[in-house]
Amino acid sequence: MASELDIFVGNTTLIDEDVYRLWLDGYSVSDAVALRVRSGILEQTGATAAVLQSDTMDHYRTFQMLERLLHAPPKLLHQLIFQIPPSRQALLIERYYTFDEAFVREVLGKKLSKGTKKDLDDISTKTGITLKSCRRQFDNFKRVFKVVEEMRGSLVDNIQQHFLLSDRLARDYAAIVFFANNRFETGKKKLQYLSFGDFAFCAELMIQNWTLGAVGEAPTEPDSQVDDMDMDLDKEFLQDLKELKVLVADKDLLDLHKSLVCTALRGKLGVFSEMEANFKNLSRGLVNVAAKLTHNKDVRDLFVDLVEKFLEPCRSDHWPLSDVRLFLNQYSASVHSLDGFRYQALWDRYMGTLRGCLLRLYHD
Amino acid sequence: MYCFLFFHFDHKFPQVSAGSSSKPRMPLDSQQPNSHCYWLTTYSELLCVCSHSHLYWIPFNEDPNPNTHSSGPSTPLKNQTYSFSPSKSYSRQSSSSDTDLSLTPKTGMGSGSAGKEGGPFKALLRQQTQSALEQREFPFFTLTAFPPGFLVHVGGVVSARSVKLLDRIHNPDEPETRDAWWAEIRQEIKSHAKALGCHAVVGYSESTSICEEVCILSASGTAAVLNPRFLQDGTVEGCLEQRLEENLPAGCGFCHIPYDELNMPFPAHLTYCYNCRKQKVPDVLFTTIDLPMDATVIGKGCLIQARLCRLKKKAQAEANATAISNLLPFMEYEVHTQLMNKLKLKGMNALFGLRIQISVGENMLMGLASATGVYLAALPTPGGIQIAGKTPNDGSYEQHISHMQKKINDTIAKNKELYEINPPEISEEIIGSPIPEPRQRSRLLRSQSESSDEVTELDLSHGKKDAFVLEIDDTDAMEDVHSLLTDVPPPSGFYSCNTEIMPGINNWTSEIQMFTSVRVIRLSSLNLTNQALNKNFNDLCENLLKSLYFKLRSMIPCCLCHVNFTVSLPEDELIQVTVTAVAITFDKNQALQTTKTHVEKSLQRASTDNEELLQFPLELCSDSLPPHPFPPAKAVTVEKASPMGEGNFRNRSTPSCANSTVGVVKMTPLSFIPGAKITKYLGIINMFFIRETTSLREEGGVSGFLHAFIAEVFAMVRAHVAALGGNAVVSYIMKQCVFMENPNKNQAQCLINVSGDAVVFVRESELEVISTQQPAANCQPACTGGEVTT
Repeated sequence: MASELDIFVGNTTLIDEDVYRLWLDGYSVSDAVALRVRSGILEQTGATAAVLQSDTMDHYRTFQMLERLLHAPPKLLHQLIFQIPPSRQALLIERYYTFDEAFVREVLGKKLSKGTKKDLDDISTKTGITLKSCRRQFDNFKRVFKVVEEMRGSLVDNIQQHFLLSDRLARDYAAIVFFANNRFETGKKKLQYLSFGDFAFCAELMIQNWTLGAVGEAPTEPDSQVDDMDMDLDKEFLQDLKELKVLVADKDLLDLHKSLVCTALRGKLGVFSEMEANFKNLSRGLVNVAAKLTHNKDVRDLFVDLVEKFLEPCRSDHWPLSDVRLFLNQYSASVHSLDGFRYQALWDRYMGTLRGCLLRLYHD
Repeated sequence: MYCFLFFHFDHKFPQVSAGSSSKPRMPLDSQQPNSHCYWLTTYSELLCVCSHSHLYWIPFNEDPNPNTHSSGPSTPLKNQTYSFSPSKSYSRQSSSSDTDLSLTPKTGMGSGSAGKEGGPFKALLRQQTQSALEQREFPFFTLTAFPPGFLVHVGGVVSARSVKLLDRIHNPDEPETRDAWWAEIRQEIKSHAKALGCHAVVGYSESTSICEEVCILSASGTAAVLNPRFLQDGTVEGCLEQRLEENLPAGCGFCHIPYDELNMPFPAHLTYCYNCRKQKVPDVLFTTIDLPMDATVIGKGCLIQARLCRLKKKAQAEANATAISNLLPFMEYEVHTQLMNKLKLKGMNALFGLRIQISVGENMLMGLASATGVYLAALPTPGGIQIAGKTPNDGSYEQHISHMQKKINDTIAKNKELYEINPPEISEEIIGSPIPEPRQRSRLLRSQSESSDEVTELDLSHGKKDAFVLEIDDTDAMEDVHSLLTDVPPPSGFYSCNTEIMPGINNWTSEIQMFTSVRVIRLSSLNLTNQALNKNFNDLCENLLKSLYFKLRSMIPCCLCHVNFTVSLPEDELIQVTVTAVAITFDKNQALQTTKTHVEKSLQRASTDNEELLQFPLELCSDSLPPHPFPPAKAVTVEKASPMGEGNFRNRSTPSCANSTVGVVKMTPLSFIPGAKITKYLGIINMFFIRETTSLREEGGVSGFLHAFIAEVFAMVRAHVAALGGNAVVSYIMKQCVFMENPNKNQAQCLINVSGDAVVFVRESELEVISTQQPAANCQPACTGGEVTT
């Protein structure tokens, strides 16, 4: 008795959250059935494996039909084929665009191109996430990227408007798009200890302060705008950062800066002597990172440089986080007392963001 | 419905006309080598009802005039035809869409003369009804629900079947031949009803099953005696008052036998009504209608199905028709036996909404009967089922028998608990002794043709109750007993019925889910025996039900209402089953409401049809006293609010569609929407869809193709209703779902016909808001076209 055809269609489309998760995770029908059996659902409901198989198939078919609509979520809201309550629609969209931490760490900052897509096999093997699920997540990143790439206005708002995601998820996607656009290196071994959340935090700060949109320089003529407001770093700003070099190039200025910081922090820092000994190196590191940002390649290595030049030395001396915070605050603030230094605003725009990033990135 | 199908066939004049049924006695054992040997000591109403006319063999081909059927030389074959039909009637639409009664001459709604009061009521009533109804050629009603007091007595199911050859119709484009066929069947139905002492048939439906050139025409209904006053011109309210004055027993009247107990049309067990103790009632009652709203029911009901397959040799034309005709009575009998057994197993005593579908295929016949079993308080408690082995002296065999007996008894006890059947104990003295000679009367079934002496030797009365003895003497019978026990009850919190609403449940919430499920299985041609077929078919239906229970588990506690199974045999080894039903969640906390509120609720549902509800103002109604175009539905005006608390209503209400641009359109096969009031009827929806694909594999195979198609059909119906300004479809039915595939060519075709009534409804909770705040604005986003009447 072979079942040729077996379908169930409800006037209100039935969505089983558990099956949806299995489908999103890329399991085949038979794997999904096996997993559901293991979850003990048969005992709970008294169903048979055949019933489970048929149910799973039905749901999978429905999801496959819905997938096309999920690629452009507003379509899901306006379509007539499937009558789905709004709360369920929101759930479908949110879950579809949710990604795995392990996966996103692998592709964060990489170009969302066919080349990367070919590497998904390896990523799948490495992370244990099914290839199907990897593809869906990768395609989601790419799709969001493509849609918002050419748009003006707030990145998060654009994503939210076109993909109907929750605020949290939209912010994450903004970070992913931002990283993909600027191609920040995140895959180096040194950076492995950092989570996606760390990077997303930095991305948000950078979008808020370092991009064109951040300064509020809305173009007067719409066509004249070449750069994307939120996605590209403010080139002018990066150029100007070279001027900060004077802080380390001018020996007097460097010494003065150091003495200001040391005076202020004496007795307050547990690692004062280490700080005093390392000050010039650290300051040189931070300023050089800024000065190098004119080159695209160095922009990509921003996080590597930050880790190498600042975070690793601090960690090797076992600075507690509170000391790092005190130091960075004082380090930034003291510059205002340097009479010969003219780029106060530029320094604040740079260090304000960098301080936030460094504090977030400083952990084990 | 059948008209539509006929378009596709090339008809010629029929040669075989088996338009009739048979003698009451069926020589079963002698004819059927693999027949089972049961001893059933209760009478089988169905069988008897179906067996009052004779079959004629008419050489047609030389005779161009179909009207000479009955005058042809008659060679009585045996048991050619009879029984019930699948397509169920829907109160609002059926008269316009389904049956062909209007085509027959002399049909009209003419009313008879009024009778007078006084005298022996029953006799008079019959007289009145007779005069009122006999003016019509066919006093048939396709309705299944009636106002209280309309049904005076219900006699039982009447049905007729006829096997015809379509390729013998001379001029297929003209309806004469087909009209004659149906007229013949209707005549037979009418005569069956008469034999039961009834003048009308309610819950009537007709259907066809076609395979190549052979066609089975089926009709069935419930013989009934109707209250003549409802058929007169006067207002319905007047009738009701009179009815109350006459003090007819409420809740049991319709169960009382309409026929003369001394001159019964068939052997039956009669007892005094357990409710009023005045009139006689049968021990079981089968009907095709919905449970009357004033009926007193104990416990809850459940869906009962009988399933059956019979192999048939492939044959052509007449030989084929004869083979089918020969099989039909046995199938009919089998189906009925199964229904009886299952009913007893559930501890119940009446079936409502009975619908027997016989489908014909190339090499087999399928029978599927669905009905809702209930325990009517007026009818006697059903006896148990006893198994008797035929080969004694075998220890292990005896042990096996007693083991099975125990299992059956356990099942009955379990079912009684499950369906809350706790009839009050009534001592024998009050009821009085049973009508004499029960044993003589109750012999009927299978072994009839064997020596009847043998029967009398067995004491089949088990205590004072009617025993129901299954004798297992072959593997077939054994299997049947097993299959009785394999039907798994629905999981707890789930109920199912094929009537509009479940007896015993009345606190519905507004959460409804209508669905269609289709399954096709391919039989492996190797092991095609009747047993294997039966098992396959049984499994198919059971698994389908199990799947439904599983899928809808989130709606528990809930009831599947109006479960409508359709079987077809699209190809040699394919069986297709289509199910449409609606799952409705109910509130468990209020499950113990009295039947009274239930009745009120039902009354409300079937009432308050004001003219504003009609799509077009009827010109006839412009007079000061408008004749009601639809008397039964107009019955009573109950202005009471629903028994359902609004509080729990709001909690349960479906999520709002505030931020969605697409308005929600509800669909239901029922004639009402729980917790809501229909404020306007926008007209009938009747849509045909044909879909073809030449890229079957790419669309996900047959399942993907049909899944998408049905989803689109739903969507198109919803869109159509929304465009009319409605927000729901009631009385929805999928009349046809014909699916054909050719995987080798990567092709498939499907034809679907759906219909229903587009309506505007307003939630009762919202209705209150509207009535308190006078501005009658539309609360529903979709009901722009409807005026909200409060």
